[in-house]
Amino acid sequence: MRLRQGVLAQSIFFTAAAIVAISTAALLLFTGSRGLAVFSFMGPGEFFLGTSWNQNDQTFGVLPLLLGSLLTVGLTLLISGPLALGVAIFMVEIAPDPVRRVMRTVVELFAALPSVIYGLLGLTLVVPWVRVITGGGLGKGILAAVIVLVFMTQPTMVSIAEDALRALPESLREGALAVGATRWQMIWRVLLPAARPGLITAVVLGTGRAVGETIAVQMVIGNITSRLPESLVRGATTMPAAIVTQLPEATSPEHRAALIMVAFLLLLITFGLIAAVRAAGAIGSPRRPTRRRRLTPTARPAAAKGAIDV
Amino acid sequence: MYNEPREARVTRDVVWERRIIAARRRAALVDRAMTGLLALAALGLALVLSAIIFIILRAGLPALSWSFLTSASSITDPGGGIGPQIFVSIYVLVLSLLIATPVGVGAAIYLAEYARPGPATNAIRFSTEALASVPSVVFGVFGAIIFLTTMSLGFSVLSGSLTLALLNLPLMVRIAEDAIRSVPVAYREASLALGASRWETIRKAVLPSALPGIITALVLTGGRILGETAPLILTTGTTISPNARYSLNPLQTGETLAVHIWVLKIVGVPGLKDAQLVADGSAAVLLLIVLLINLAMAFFTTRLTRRLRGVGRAPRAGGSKKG
Amino acid sequence: MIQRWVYRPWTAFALMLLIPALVACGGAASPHAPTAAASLTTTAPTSTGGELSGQLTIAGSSALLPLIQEAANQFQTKNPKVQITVTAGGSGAGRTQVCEGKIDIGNSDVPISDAEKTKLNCPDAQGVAVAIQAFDVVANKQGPGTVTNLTKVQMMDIFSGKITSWKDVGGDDTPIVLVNRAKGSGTRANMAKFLFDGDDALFAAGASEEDNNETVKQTVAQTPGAISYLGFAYLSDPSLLAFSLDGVAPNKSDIKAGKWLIGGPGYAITKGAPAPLAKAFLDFVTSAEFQGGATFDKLGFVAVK
Repeated sequence: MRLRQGVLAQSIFFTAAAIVAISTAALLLFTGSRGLAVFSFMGPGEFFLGTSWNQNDQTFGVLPLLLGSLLTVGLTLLISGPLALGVAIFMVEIAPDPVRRVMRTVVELFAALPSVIYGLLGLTLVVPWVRVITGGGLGKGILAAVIVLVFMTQPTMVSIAEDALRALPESLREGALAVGATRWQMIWRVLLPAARPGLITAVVLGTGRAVGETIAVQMVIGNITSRLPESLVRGATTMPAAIVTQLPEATSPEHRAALIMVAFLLLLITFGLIAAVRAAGAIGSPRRPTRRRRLTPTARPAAAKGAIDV
Repeated sequence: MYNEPREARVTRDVVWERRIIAARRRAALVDRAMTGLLALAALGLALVLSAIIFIILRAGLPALSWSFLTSASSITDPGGGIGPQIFVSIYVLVLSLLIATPVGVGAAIYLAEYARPGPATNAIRFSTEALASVPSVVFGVFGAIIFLTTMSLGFSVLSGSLTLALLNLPLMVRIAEDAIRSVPVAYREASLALGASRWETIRKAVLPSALPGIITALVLTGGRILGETAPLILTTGTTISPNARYSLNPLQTGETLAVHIWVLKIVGVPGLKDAQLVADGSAAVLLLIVLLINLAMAFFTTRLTRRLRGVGRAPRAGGSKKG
Repeated sequence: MIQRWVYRPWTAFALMLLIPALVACGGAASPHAPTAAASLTTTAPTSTGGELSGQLTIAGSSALLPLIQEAANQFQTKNPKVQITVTAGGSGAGRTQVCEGKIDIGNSDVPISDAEKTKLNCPDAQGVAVAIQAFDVVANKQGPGTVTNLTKVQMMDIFSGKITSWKDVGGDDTPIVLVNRAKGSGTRANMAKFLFDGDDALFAAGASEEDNNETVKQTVAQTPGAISYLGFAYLSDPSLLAFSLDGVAPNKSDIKAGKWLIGGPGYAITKGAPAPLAKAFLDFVTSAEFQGGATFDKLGFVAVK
């Protein structure tokens, strides 16, 4: 009786776990198959190299979306990465305990904010500010999206970087300070190189979040898909923004298939980023073989006699 | 070196010492400068967040009132509210959690207690990680393909809840698994020593002890569900039919609070004269709910953990930030 | 004694998945066709007492949106078993989607042309005029200065890009920021018909191609120097300046008198003859009760009769 109950329980739990696995496979399968159907309407060259995505002309070149995503995410990384690193270093090494606890609460709250609120503030604060700075125009564009994204990716990057730094053994710090390094020298020359895999993970996962962010970007980027992004302050688009704007009102089977293909590309890019994280983690961790030390002249005779280890 | 005249040696040592002192002074300067810079960055970040909360509450609180929270808005007259949207938000939340919790906790129990190293377990772990990194809009597209079209559910609360359940599955599995794994081995050993079967051990010793963590998982997932917009736009829709307000039919279209904010600013409800006010009010309500959830969670996990397990630490909810 | 292998997780799992899958596939396959059809088309009203029930999906023109939304609300209040969803998307999207069978009624600011009927493969598309719409050129209050009237030639020059600064029409020394609509917009088509005799290519590229009337309204209201065009229902925003055209002011009496030149009928298009529920709704929209009601006045439309 108990055995049967136990085995039944195990089967149920296994089913639950298998559902998760199957869902991932289904996600890839369905998005991929419906997306690849776009190539029955147009050739890959037209799709991947076309510079205009215009549902009214039924031309679906994906370059404006790809370039928009690339520019937006790239700029976001450049600003957000160092910033997150700095905040993480501050939280782990420099801040006194109460400040650290407050900062951690702040970062967690930041993470919990819905993206539509970021978008709303982007519309009401960032876009007018960009407009004032660039002296006219709409204000919506890649610049506004980058500003909003920098704040949105902070929590992810900061918390992972913080974990990476905290996981470093105390002996590293003690060793560095013992030979006379200042705190910053210890951080810059010892801790950061040692934590490199974790820091790279933080940055890559933050990038993943930036690539996939939909609503906040869509509200401030201007949503022009019909041409390549012209400048940082004229309307542009990113892949997720285009999907959420156009899919509910898709005008034809080609349009729908093209949009699903864009979603599939997004999926592949995200998986690629995850693979990069794993690869970076694998590169950082194997220990470098210890090399023979160079001996000072005074030490040579001692080493030759076997008194010092080499 | 030993052959140098004494004066040369002394001069060289002095030069070296001066250089070392100069380098140390530079390093100390850099140290202080960087400390200041980093402190500035961190405090700047904290300031921006406080400013965000302050701005939203200041713009939205004036709009809040009991009638705002319970009545519906009309297209032609100002003074409407967001009652139906709040109802749909809660409905989607409850339905998603109902679907996601059994599957997520079940998978977590399997991974923590039953899984043996092998291809099946590897596949399950790999897919959980992969699923966790997928952007929400792709889930929306997937939901639109499967639930909307293939299963013919149409734009409905059910489609949206299924999509959101899928979206949050990895998070729930991860946190629940952490919670279950963090139960001390001693509990399991004691239970088995007393003659319980594996299933009984799980049911009576492990799960109650992991309960705070599982509740954390639920609450965190709930917070995320309330804020999701993109997948719901693609699967639940952006309108509420006047005849379906407060209706429990899962096949009706609906508009959650977060989607409503988006609709007000992007799609527009022409004729609604106070659209900006309604948008601000909705944002304030959403913010308050999210803040409340976080505070409550921080408060209760520490208390629950202390009660259910003595003095153990609650499992850290780090899962939500990792992508 | 059940065999051991039944207890293995794999088998139990396979069984547990197989049964729901069979049920889902079997259940989905047979009602799949009719449910798909039912969710796309309307169900016939019950004959007893004529109480209507079913679902309607309407999409298309954002200029007509407020009117149809209000009509849908009133219709649903009268017929509690009916559920109507009205969204925007642009007149072009409305016509395309109704011809594909994705929606029941497509709202459009322009009638569906014969060329389009062939291209979209719905030769039997029917349009019903539901209101007379008017469109106007609007601008942000900063820029035009004291100018409140534009001539048609000035409008043509502004929208084709020949005039680039407000001072060239008597306003302040501010550059003109041209906000356009995307090509599928019926509002844009109406403006093209008035300004360029329908030649849409003469529109200058502009700063943006907005999706619908609401985003145009918000953009123009927030951008100094911006100029664009809107349906009348959207003109009420106090931060916008609605221009008079050649001396004719944009108000209802002038529209009714036929003096206002930019505009035309707005259509509700169905694929073939409308299904019973759609027909009932369209009858309501074109009824004297609704056309003469307060909504038309409030929203700035003119009755079609």
